Amino acid sequence: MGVLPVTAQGTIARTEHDGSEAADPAGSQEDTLRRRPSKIAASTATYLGCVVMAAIAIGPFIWMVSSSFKLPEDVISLTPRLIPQPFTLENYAYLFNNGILPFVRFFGNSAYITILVIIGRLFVCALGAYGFARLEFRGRDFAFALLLGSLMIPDMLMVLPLYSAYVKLGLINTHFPLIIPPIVANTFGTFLLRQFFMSIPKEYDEAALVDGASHFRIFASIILPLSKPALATLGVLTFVNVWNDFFGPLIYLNDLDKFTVPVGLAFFQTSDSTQYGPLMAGATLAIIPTVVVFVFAQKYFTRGIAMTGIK
Amino acid sequence: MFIGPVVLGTLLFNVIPIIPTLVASFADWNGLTAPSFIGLDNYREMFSGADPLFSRSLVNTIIYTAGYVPIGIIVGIGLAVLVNNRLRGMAVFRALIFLPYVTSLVAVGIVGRWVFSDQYGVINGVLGQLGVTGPHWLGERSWAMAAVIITAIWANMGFNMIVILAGLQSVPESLVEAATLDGAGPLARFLHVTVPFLTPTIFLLTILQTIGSFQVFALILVMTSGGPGDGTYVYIYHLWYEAFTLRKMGYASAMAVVLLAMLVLITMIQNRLSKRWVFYQ
Repeated sequence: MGVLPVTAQGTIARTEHDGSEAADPAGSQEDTLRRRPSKIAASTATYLGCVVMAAIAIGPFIWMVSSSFKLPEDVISLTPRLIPQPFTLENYAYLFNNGILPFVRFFGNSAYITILVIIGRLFVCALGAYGFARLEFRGRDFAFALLLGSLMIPDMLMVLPLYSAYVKLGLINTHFPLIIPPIVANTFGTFLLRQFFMSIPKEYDEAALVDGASHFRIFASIILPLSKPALATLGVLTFVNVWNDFFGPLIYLNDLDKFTVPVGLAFFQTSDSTQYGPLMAGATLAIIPTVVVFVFAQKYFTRGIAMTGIK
Repeated sequence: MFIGPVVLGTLLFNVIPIIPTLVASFADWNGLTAPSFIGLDNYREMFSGADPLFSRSLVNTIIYTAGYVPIGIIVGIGLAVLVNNRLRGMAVFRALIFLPYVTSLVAVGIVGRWVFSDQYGVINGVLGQLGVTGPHWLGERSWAMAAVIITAIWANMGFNMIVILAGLQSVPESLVEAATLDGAGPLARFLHVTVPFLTPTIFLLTILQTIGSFQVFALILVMTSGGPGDGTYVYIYHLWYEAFTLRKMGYASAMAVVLLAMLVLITMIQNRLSKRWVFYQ
C-alpha cells in the first residue's frame, strides 16, 4: 500500500509541462544556437530510434487495418503488401452478416455499458472524493484506508462469491455485474479525484459556507466545475477500461445477444479461427473507439497514469 | 452522505466477498448448492502434487513474470530516455508508442497470434528475409511462452514509458549539469545520476507489474489458450477453469487465497529488498 504516494502531485505538474512541446521555446532556441555536429548526430539518432519504436508500436495495427480490407487469400499471402490489392469490404460485410455472431449488438452493448459506467462512476467517485477531501468526520481516515487497501486485493478474491450471489439473484447473463459494481465500487477513481480536490483552495468552500451554501451546493457549483480536467482524466481511463474489459463479460454472460465486443471477438476467434480477414476487421473496429478517445484526450490519459502509476 | 455510495459499494463488492472466499476455500462447493466442509483438503490437493496443473500453472506464471517484468521495465527505461528530450515532435512519438496500451487485449492477442504465426507471421517473414528459419512460435512450449511475453511487453511498453518518464523528470537538472562539469560522460551520468533517482519509480513498477503478471489471463486465453500442451497454462487460467468450467468453486477459492498470500509475500520481500537499492531523496 505504501507504494501509491510515491508519485506526488508534483509529478503531474511536470508531466503536464513537458507534454506541451512549445512550452519551452527559449530552451530549444538555445539548442539551435550552439548546435554542433555531434548534437545533430545525436538528435538524428534519437529520431531514428523514435521512428523505429513507433513503427514497432503501431506497425501491427496498421497491418491489421490493411488486412481487414484484403481478400482471404491475400491476408495470408506469403508476399505481403501493405495497400490491399484488390481492396474489399467483404470482411466487414461478413462480420456484420455472418448469421452467427451479432456484432452490431456487441457494439451496442459495449457502448451503452461504457457510457452508463462513465456517467455513474464520475458522479459516485466525485461525491466520495468530496467527502474524503473536504469534510471532516469520525472514521474518515479509517474508511479511506479501507478503500485504498481494497485496491491491492486481486479481483479473484471477490469474483467467486459474487458470481454465486449473482446466480442466486438471477443476475447472471444480465449486464448488472458489468455496470453497477464498476460504478459504486471504484476506489481508484475516488482516490484520483480526491487527490485533485485536495489541491483546490479551502477558502472557496469556507466563503460559500459563510454565504449559507450547503455542502452539496459547494460540490455541484464550485468543486465540480473546477475539476473538469480531473473528471476528464477519470472519464477517459474509465472509457478505456470498461470498453476493453474481458474477464467480467466472459464469466457473467452466456447469451450471444448480451456479449460485449471483446468477448464477442474472442468467441469469434475460437469459433471461426481460420478466417483472419473478418477477425482483423473485428479487431480493427474494436480498437477504433479507444484509439479515437486516446488521440483526442491523450493528455488526460497520460496524466492519470503519471499521477498514480496505475490504471 | 457523500462517501456513502462508494464506501457501501466497495464494502459490498470488494471487501465483504473476501470472507465467503476464505470460508469456501475450506469447502467442497459448486457455487450453487450448500458447501460441505472438507478442512484443508483443497490446500492439500494443491501442494501435495495431486493437481499437477496447479504446480504447472504456478511455474508458468513465475516464468512469465520473470521474463515480462524485468525486460518490460528495461524497455520502458530505454523508451523513456529516448523520448525524454525537447526535440520537435516528441509528443507524437510518445503517443504512438503508448497506443498499444489503450487497445483491447483481445485485439492485441489476435494480432499477436497472427504476428507469431509460423506460416504467414511477420516475425518469421522478416527472419526468413534474413536467411533465418524462425521457430514454430505458438507450436512449441518455450517459444509460445516467449511469444506471449514479447506480446505483453509490446502491449504495455507505453505504460512503463510514461511512468518512468514522470520519474525522469524528477531528476534535478543541476545535478546532471554538475556531473557534466566534473567530466562525466553520458553513460556515467545516466548510471550515477539518473538511475538513482529512478529507483523509486522502478520499484513501484516492479511491484505493480508483478501483481499484474500473476494475474495474466486475457492475452493467454486469446493467443494460446494455455497451450501448446500446458506450455502457457498460467495460474488465473487454471483458477478460471476450475471455477467456471469444472464448477469447483471451493478449490478455486483456495487458489484465490493462495494467490493473495503469494502477492502479499512477494510484495513484502520486494519491499525488504528495496532498502538495498531504492534511493529516496
